[in-house]
Amino acid sequence: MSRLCTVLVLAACLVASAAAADFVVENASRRINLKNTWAKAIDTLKAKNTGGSDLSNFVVCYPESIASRIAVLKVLIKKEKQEVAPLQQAPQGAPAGVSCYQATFKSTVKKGATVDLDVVATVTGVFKPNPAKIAQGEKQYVEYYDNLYLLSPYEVTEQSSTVLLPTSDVRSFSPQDGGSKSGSKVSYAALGKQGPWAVQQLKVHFHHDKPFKRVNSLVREIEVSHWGNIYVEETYEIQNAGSQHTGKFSRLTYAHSPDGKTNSFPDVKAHLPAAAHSLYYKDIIGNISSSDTTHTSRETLIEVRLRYPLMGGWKTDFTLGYSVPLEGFLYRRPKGKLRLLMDLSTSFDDVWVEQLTTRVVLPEGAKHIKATLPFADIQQSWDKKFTYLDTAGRPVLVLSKSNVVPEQNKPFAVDYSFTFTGMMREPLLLISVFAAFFAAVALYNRLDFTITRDEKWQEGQAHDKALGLIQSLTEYWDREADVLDRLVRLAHSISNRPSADAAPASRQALEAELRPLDEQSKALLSQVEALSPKLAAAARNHGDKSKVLLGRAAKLLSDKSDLIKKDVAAHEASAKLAGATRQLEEAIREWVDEGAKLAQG
Amino acid sequence: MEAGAPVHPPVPMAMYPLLATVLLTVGIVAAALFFLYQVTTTRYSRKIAFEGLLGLSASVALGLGTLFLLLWLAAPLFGSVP
Repeated sequence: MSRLCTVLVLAACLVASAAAADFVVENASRRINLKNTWAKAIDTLKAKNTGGSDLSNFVVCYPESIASRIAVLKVLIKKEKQEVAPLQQAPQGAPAGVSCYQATFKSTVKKGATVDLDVVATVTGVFKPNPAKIAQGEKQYVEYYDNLYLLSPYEVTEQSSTVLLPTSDVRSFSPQDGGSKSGSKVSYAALGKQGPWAVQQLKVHFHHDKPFKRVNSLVREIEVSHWGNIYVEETYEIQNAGSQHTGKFSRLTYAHSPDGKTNSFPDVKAHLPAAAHSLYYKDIIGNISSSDTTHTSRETLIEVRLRYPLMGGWKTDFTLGYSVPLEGFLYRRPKGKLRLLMDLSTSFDDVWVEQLTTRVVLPEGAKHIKATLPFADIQQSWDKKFTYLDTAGRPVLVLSKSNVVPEQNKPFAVDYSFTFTGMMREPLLLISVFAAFFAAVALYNRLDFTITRDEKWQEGQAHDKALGLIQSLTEYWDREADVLDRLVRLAHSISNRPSADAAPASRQALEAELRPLDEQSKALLSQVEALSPKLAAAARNHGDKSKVLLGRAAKLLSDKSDLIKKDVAAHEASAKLAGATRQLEEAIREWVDEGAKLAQG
Repeated sequence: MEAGAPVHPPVPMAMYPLLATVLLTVGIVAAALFFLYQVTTTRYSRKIAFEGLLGLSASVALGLGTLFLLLWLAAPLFGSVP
């Protein structure tokens, strides 16, 4: 039994060590680009399949200090990206402090064939300032540590390493042998054959002239409103990650000479969408007015000057916000869903973000929310935001990622469904609040809070009730006034004998209309009598006046008819009766007004 | 990532100022008429139908007017809103 175990363990070891003998890297040309404030290592490898079968996996490794700071790792064959995944455990035989990744090729490499691949790694935060502290005016020197050779589980036949520096001011580089410096390049041209896991520390100590703009944390909140706007608010904490400033800071020196600035930076530039509007730039103190915005047809460029220039180690925080219209960012998808397309990270140049949190706030009532993300290592979680006119809160999708460089600022999509009725919830809420207020007022006016219900109160109540009935009476009075008006017009319209003959009949018809009105108003009047005799008397008085007016109208009608029958010309007749007509019309108006006043009490 | 037809707001944003002022004016006038009616009539002479009509139209106009007022002033004043 124990012998079987030993055999199995040996077999396993053989298999494991055989794994490292899959490929042989015939040529490795490493270019380490340190010109920016983050390192970009491009390894161009030519690997030959010396294993016993077709292979499709390739292992690339980095020292732990670099691997932990990798932001982007790409393996390209003919510019086509291959799948890369981190390996939990380094392969057998790896020295301590090595992290490895496995690339899975899209097409297998046949036995004996060679494959050309590029391994590109973008690494942040690997420059160690030395001296760590500098005074104002001193130059910033940093050290870069890496492995001189290609750190690989495979044997490497030929390799070379080149380090591209931002300046030609190099204090030292090690190892000295094999390396040569020309201008801003340190190259190790022919490093010869190396076995697997060849370890040799490479150190370059040089002057880096660019300021290190590091965003410690960025919270980017994107709020979608279907009424027409997408609000973006970004909260930054930005720090100068270069050599720390020590000693005094002189504004005069800073302003008057380029030496006074060295590794500091006063501003950051952002490229916002062209349709961005209503920009604001503020911090906890208030608005920061030192910013410049340039609107072009392709973009909105904003140069944001920080409250104070950031010398080494200094940090500050601010909030930048803007709005964009829905067009260009929100689209309809099949089955009634909507898609929001926005950029994941900041639009500032030259910064890298240590901790990025993107919050997508969708309207209240959005359902079936699903995100399509450009990277696999983005964590998703949920939150709720309560803001204007919210009852249950808005769903918030929170995306977190650490160590983000500008090339990772890719668009992401959020799909959700949101109905029109969902959008109507907001105005309906407002309308119901106002309606409740008006209803409360109407209700209050119907309540009676008198404490002592004495005689005076009862009289008042009766008076009010009577007034109410009189208001209904005014409807009848209005109709009576209308009949009177028609009589006057009839009189005016008599212009010849036939119409004069027809007049009496029309008059009687109109008077007939008045009769039912009279009866109904009599009924109402008796009700008013029961409540308030005084008001009843006034109302009755008023009603009687209409009889007088009726008489006058009848007289006017007969006068006109007579004149026409006497063959007086129509216009002459009108002229003669003009005075009387006018007076009658005025009287009718007065009567109507009196009635209205009576109803008011 | 594919995208479909762009989404447009139900009311063009350029109309927000006009809509807000007109609706609020109408709403305030209707509210004033409502209160006038409340004050000039007695409990017995008031008609619920007329009261309800006035109150409802006033609240609709005021509600929508406030909404468009908020939307119009949101971005310039506060940065983020409905």
